[in-house]
Amino acid sequence: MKKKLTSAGSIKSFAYKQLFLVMKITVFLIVFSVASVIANSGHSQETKLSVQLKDASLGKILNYIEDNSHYYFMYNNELVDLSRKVDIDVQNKSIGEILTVLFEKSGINYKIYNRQVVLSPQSQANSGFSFQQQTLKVSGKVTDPSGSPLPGVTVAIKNTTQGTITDANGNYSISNISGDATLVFSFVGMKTQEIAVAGETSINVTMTEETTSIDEVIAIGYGTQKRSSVTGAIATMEAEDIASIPVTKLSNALEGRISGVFVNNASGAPGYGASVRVRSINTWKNAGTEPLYVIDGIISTKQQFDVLDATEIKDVAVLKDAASAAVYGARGGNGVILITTNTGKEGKFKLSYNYSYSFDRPSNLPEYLDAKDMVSLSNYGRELDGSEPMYGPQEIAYFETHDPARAMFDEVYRDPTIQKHSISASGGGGRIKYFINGSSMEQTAFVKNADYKRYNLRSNINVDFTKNLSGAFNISYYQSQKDRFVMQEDNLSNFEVDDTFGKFWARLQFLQPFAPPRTSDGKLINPGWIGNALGFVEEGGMNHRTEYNINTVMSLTYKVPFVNGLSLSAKYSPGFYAKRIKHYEKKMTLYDVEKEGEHGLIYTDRVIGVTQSSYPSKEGLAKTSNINKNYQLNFSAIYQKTFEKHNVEAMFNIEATEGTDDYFYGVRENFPLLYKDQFWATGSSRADSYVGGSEYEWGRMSYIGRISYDYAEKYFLNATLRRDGSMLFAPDYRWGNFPSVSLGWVLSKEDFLGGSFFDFLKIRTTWGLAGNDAVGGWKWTESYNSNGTYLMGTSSVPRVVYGGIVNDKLTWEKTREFNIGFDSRLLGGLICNAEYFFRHSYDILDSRIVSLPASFGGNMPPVNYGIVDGRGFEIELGYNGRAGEVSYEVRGNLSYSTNKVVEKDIPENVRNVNNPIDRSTDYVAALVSNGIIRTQADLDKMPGDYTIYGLKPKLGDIWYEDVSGLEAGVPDGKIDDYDRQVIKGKHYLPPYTYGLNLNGKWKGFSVEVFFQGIIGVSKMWAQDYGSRAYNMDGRSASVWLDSWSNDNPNGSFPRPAGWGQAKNDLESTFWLRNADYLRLKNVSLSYSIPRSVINKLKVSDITLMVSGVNLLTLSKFNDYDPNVWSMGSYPTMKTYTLGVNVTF
Amino acid sequence: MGSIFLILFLTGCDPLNKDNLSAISADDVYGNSGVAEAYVNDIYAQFMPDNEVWSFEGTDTDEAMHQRGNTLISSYLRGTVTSDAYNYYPYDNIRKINMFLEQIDGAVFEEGIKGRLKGEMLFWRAWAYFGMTRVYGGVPLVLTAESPNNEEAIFIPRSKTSECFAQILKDLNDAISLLPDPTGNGRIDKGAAMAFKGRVALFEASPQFNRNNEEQLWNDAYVANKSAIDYLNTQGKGLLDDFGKLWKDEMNKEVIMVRRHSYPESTNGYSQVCVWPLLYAKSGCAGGNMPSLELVNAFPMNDGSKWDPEARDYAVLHQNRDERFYATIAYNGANPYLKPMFGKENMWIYWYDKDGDSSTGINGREARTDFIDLNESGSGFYTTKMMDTNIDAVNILDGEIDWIEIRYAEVVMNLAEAANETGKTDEAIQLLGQIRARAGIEPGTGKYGIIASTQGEIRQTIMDERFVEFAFEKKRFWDLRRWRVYKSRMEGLQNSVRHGIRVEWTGPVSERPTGLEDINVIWNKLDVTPIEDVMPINMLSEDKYSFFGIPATYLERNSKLEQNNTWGGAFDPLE
Repeated sequence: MKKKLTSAGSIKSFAYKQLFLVMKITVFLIVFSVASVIANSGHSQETKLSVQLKDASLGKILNYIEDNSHYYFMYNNELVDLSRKVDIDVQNKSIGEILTVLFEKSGINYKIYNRQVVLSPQSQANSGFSFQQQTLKVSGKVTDPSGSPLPGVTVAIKNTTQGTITDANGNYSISNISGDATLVFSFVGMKTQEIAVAGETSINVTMTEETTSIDEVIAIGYGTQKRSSVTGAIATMEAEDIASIPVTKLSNALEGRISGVFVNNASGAPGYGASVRVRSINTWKNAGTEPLYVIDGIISTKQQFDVLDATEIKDVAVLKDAASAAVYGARGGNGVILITTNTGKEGKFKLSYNYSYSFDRPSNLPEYLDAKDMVSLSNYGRELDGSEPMYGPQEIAYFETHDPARAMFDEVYRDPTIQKHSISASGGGGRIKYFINGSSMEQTAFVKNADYKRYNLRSNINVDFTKNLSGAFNISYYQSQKDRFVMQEDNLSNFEVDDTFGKFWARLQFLQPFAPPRTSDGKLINPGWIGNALGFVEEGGMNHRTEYNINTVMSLTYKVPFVNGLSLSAKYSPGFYAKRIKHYEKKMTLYDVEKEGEHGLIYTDRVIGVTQSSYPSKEGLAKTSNINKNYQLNFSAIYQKTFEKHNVEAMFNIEATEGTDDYFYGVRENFPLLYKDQFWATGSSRADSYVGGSEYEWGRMSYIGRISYDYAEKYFLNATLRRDGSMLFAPDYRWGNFPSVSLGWVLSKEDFLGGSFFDFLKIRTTWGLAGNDAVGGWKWTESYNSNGTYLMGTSSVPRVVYGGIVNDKLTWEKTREFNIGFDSRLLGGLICNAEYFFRHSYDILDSRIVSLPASFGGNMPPVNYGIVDGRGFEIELGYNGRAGEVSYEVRGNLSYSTNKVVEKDIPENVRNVNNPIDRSTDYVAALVSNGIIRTQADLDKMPGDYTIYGLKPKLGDIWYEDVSGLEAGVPDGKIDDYDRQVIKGKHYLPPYTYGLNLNGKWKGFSVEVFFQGIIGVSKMWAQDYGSRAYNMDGRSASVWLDSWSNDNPNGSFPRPAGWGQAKNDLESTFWLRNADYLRLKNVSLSYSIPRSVINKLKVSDITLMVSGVNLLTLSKFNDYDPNVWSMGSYPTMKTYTLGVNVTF
Repeated sequence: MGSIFLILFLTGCDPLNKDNLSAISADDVYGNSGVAEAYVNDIYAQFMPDNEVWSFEGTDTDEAMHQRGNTLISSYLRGTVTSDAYNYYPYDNIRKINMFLEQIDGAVFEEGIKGRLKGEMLFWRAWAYFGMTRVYGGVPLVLTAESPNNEEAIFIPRSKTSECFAQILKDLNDAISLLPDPTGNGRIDKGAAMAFKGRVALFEASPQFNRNNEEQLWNDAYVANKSAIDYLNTQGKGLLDDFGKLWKDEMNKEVIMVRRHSYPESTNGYSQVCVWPLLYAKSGCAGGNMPSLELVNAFPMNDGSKWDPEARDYAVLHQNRDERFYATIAYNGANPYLKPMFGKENMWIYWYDKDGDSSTGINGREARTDFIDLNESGSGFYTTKMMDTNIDAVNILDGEIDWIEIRYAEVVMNLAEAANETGKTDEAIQLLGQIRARAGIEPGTGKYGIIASTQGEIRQTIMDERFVEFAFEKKRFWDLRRWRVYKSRMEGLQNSVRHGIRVEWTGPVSERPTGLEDINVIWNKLDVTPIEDVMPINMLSEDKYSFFGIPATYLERNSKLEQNNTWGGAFDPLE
């Protein structure tokens, strides 16, 4: 019901495939099926056809009808003989009339089910099989997941030719069967179910949709393949799997869903997109690890992927191994994520509206000390340091009962929400199919004045111009806007504020422990250099970032009429992306108040002065414009041929892309008259203005070829070759070839496995080469660049700087990968797939500068030299079952990946701990801690001149292991960088990730429970601002309550030392924590209102949904969310969603 | 439609044929004197020193007091400094210079411009090597832009310190012969190169390098500085009459080498922000360049005698000092020195409410600052030196004060020091007299109050004179190391801490001095007591400071590079 079963090849093979693969029935049985529930009665049988053929075989005539109508034929070619030649001449007749003519006296019965025409031999129909109900023995009702009766389901007795189909009410009955027989229920688009009769006389069945079918057609890059034919490591996810998850960036929804895909949701900030990587990391560099995103065949950006709404996409496929990714050549080395958007389906007009409303709550908020604890701990810490107490008696007494800065958080906090609307219209008839989708999304932060909004529009139109010429015309548009207040911590580059709010959260909790945000009459208080956080939020100005993106696809496909199986197509996809930022920053008015207490730490309400905030140092208004224009142009030819049992498909594609990028900004400073976020309000002096900008252009050329061959869908061979040219490299080094070859063998089709517990078993192996050219341009040509100005005498003079030594042999990084895997389906419903890969990334580009002395002085260009090996495996398990009226599915995946640096530039004299060779790219190096120096006896054990980075240790400090000094391996009584050690077996990135999805359906109810987790990862504990030091002047985390003190010598944290007074904050095993977690990522419950109720409302479906995301996290790491970087990061969110979906 | 694209595609341009829109070629550089000069300009921007607040040259010496309330002093003074602490290794810019020097002869433009640019680049190479040599001793001498494949030429050991000095002086001699006379256009000229050569020679002759006190080195220093001063005199350079106008009359005759600042092209705003009292800066940033009591005490009286803290009351420390005192120190009651003060109020930095009765106000609140930030002056002083009097809090970033890296007075003082060490006592005193006369000190018997007569006494007098003359000009740290008195001077401070003062108003709150009230009238209602920095100074041996360790990251990358013997290695920086 989800697949369009077209007759691409000969009708014979088509019929054969249908029988074999859709129904998986090995008995001689004529199959009757009904295409679609939704389009149940929708397809008009009144369509008129004309057929004029002389001396044509029945087969050829049916072929003609398939090509010229929406009907297709299903039959068992061993029972139905279509070789008989006839003449036919009918004009404007309905299909029924034509078929009556055609099969007159042919011994063939036909039956029309919507678009399917099922043929059966008359003799068989009369003997073993009938539409007439026979004497009852076993009977029951077959329903769909929503509980509606399902007519047309084939009910067969296993290993016989006996069977029946359900009637219009979904009822069936079947007689003359033995008590130990097994009934096989099958229906197109639904999972086939086998149920033992076991003496029962009434068996009711709920059919469930086939979601992981081996018959699924999946995207493989420059084409599609049936899953059963796939030989590479390709994982897929249906969009409906994530439809109930209210993410604002698509990448956030992938976490744990797809094996081999590692997603890190490191922030809950609005509009934050998680980082995504496929399999092991191919490089030690921070950049160039992202996969390639391809939307409907157009190479796109992660931004464009992230903004897609779940309702506009059909599925996501991930090309994991290099052989699969090799068709993307120089850019496929980090895997490829292919997104297919929805297209219109033949049949009834369908309109669907979706609404959801989500409440967010920060998950796992770190706890902070109360004012009174903060006061006592700070004073104690200062006492240990030998300095004066920070708080005097009057202040101690005051903070015993007051915690004024908590109001800072309360005042900026609001409950965040997400609202989504989407509306889709789809359908098709005649020559046109369409899918039109519009969606809007609004998300707010847990802090005021920070929002993310997005609007998407997509129109996918497919047109059959003539019998042989078809076209696709897609337009997608999105507009997104991020609005956020501006604050001191924003590290503005190109006027972009930090997506993850930088350290705002830390500021709220941490920095102003005694300053209330405002006086009782609402005036913002000046807390000094640190600035008033509430002031930033409410009065500091705003940053608006708006993105506009239009992508269009125009493609034409021509089936060459005189060469059967050859089609040519051209595709032109211009794209336009614009980003505009409006950045408005102003000072806020702050009030000085009289302060009381011994140290003036008690803020009173008495205003004694007024001042302007020190941040921003310059007030002003900036606007930026970034415009990117590009196109992708493809010409392709596909040839398909089947002879006997040999199936061959060949594809050739030429791809050209070009683009330009134009960046411009203008700034005007100062507001002489009044504050308004408009240029006219800014200073009009030339000295207050400045502008700047840059442009670049790029281009690529590629030739892609693929040959796929299979014999009887049993033995598969695929070979691809891409030839890529990139202007990033010198003319002699810009062309490269990326080959791949893969093999597959469906063992379950072999006789020796016939009848075993495998319903399906395929082993496959691949080898391929892919590249990564994300290395920046123009490193191959000598250049000098402008570098600002210098004030010489009285005028600014230009500066020019050498662009660095060039490498004209520069080319892309390469990844060679071997993959072996199997797909299986056994015991009637258990799916088990597994992959193992070994990848060898070489020619990794990096500057070899560290192997040269620093006195060399040059900037070495990147050179292709590095090697990183990666390996790992992925396992997917799934089971579909039912118990009574409940059908359920269990799906799990486990991925493992690791890597090892084989070759990397190292300093000649490198210390072992700094040597990356033979270690994974995320190895952990740190000081080794022996715990805390708790007693004088511990302290006395230290050598006389034991120092920690020059400091003498004190009680309560961390005790580090002294292993080396300037002379390697010889302890020198001093703790310094020489004592850092490799912590074996620890990783900063999770080697294992897993996901477990449980879902069940009962009548109209369906429930999903999704767990996700990581194993084997370590994390360096970090509080606000990434520091591990106790903050003497601010508010530290509550954990410090259990710090070492004379009264608490067994405390689990070191003494509360002032800044620079101790070296307890160094990266050491003391802070290295196990950050494994298991998370209840999503629970959703939906209820589809029964058709009997909604039919009266003239809608076809109403589904109500409630879900919760991130509801529970089990981890030993619980001081803050293990996903986020530090305690001061914007926390991830728990999200509760209510939604409704109405389909007309 | 497809065929239309095909035609477009086949006849259109090659997608791979693109232009680098942000670059120019080597031909542009050596084919056009303007571009070549722009290449040299970049080296200026890389090397020309600039104003800094909290430069370690001040905060790690006795020149500046530590910021109040912050108990932490730097690793230099705590004795926790490591061999990684000092990192100055500008070989990237040295390579740019070497490339230029190798290619400039082949350039196609006028020889005169070539010579000038070459001279400028030789000067900057000397500058870079001097910067390293004075820190670490000898470093690898890289004088050509070697190919990365020529391992023999690039994996080289450190040259001897003496070889480095020889090279620096050679480059400077070459530069001097190529550079033009001063024109005041901001470029390095013959005068700057000669003055810098004098500085280099003085360092080489100083105890840091010259442990045996070899007279030849002092002679060289004398000659270098003498020829510099003689040349500068011919070019109309000299001491500006009014010390207070040195940073106000820009490009005056005392300026030899300068980084200019002008709004909006290039401002030194940051330093202005952080050295103003918070009340005026409204910035949140404060605490830079706060004069220590040690510095304040070092300023002579206007009769040339020393300030005697035993004999005088700190409440009148502002009376009868030399002109440099007023041009350097902002004290309680000082005349307005910032734009927001003019016509409104003097500099009031006293504390009030000594009684501790909070009902009358906050106990111990400094009159000028926001206590909570602990950013009031730690010493009870601010600095008036190098302040831009044309800017307000709103445009505080737009300060336009030039940074004078070498001024005539330095050449005079360098010469005086070399003269004294070579036995030319009278000349030394005469030169010191020039400096003191310009500072408004009365000539007295013609010696401007100098009572020193032996070589040793004069040496100390020169040290004291440099301390006040060049306060906050980033000289103190290098001078203390050069004389090898860093540890002894710092640990020898009273109680091994730096000091400031606390000025407290003893009168009624209602009579607190405000506005333009004259400090000389009310001084006796103020209690002034010295205060101490919190954390005591406790230093490593002088040898650890004379030559810092080479950071481990550089040692890792070249096994021929040896660590200094004072930091556990085998390299002797005294060779």
